[in-house]
Amino acid sequence: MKIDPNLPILIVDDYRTMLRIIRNLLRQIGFTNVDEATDGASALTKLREKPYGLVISDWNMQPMTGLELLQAVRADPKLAHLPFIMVTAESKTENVLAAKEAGVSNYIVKPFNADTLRAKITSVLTKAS
Amino acid sequence: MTSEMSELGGRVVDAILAAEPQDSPRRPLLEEARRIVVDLLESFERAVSSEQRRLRAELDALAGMIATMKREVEAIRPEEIETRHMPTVNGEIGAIAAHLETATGDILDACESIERTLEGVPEAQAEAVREQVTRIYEACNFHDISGQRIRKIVKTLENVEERISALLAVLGQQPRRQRGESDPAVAALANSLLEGPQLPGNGRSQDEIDALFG
Repeated sequence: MKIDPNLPILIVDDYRTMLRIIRNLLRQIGFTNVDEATDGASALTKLREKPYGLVISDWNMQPMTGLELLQAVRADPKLAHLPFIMVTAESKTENVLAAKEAGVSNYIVKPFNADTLRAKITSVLTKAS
Repeated sequence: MTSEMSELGGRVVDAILAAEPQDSPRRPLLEEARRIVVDLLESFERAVSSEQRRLRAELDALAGMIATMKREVEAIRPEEIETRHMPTVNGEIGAIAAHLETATGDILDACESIERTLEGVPEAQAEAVREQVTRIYEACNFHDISGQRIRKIVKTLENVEERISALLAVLGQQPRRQRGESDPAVAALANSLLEGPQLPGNGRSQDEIDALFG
C-alpha cells in the first residue's frame, strides 16, 4: 500500500522536546505535514478544526490526558474512525488494555525507535484504508 | 496476705457471727463461710494486683518507647527536613530537569543542523549520516523517560514530606509547611503522571503489547 507522505498528522505531547523528536523521526520516515499540540484539550480543538489522517498522542498530559482525548475522538461521529496511536511510557497491562478498550489503533511504548514508529503507522494506515 | 477487701469481707461475716448466740448450731457453718470469703477475696485481690502490675509495666515500656522515639526524631532535626533538606532536593531536581531539557534541545539543534548540511551531499553518504542522526533522535527519548522518572521521585519525596509533617503533628510540633505547599515548579513536574515508566520486568515490552493487539 502506498502511503501519502503529505498525510496530515497531529502529534500530541506535553514535552516540547518529545514533539520535536517525533516530528524529526516522522520527517525521516517521510511525513512532513505534521502539526503539534501540547495537551489533549488543544489537540481536540485542532482535530475539530482541520481534517487529519492520523493522531500520535502521549498519555500523561493535562488538562486532558491522551486516554481522555482518545475517548473524546471515538465519541465524536466526525472523528470516530480517525487512526490513533498512543505513544507512552505507560506499559502496565491494565493501561494497555484500557487504551485498547477505548479504541486505540495501536500502542507504542517509550522509549521507541524509528522502525517501530514506521511499522505501527504503516499497520494502522493500512487497516484504516 | 490480708488486704482491705478481704478485711471488709471478714468484718461483714463477723457482724453476722456476732448476732448469732454463742451456742448457735450455725456458728461453725458461718465461721467456715468467713474463712472461705476471706480466702476468695484475697485470691481475687492477688490476681487483680498481678494484672495491674503487668499493665503498669507495659505502660511504662510504652512510655519509654515514645520518649526514645521523640528523642530520636528530635535528634534528626525534623524541622530541617522540611525547611532545608526538602527545598534543596526540590531545587536540585528542578535543576536536573532544566539541564536535561537544555541538553536535549542542544543535541536536537545539532542533529537538525547536520541534516540541513546534507543537502547536496551524495545520497549514499547522506543516508549513512541520516541513519546515525536517527539513532540520536531515538536516544533522545531518554529525556522524556528521565523526566517521568523524576516526576515519580518528586511524588515519593512529597509523600515522605507529608509523613514527616504528620509525625511532627503527633509529637506536638507545628509543621513549617502545609500539605501541597511544595515548590510550584517541582509540583508541576509531579502532575499528570499516571504510573510512568516501569522498572525492568514490571511493565510490558513492545513485543508483548503487540501480542495484546493481535
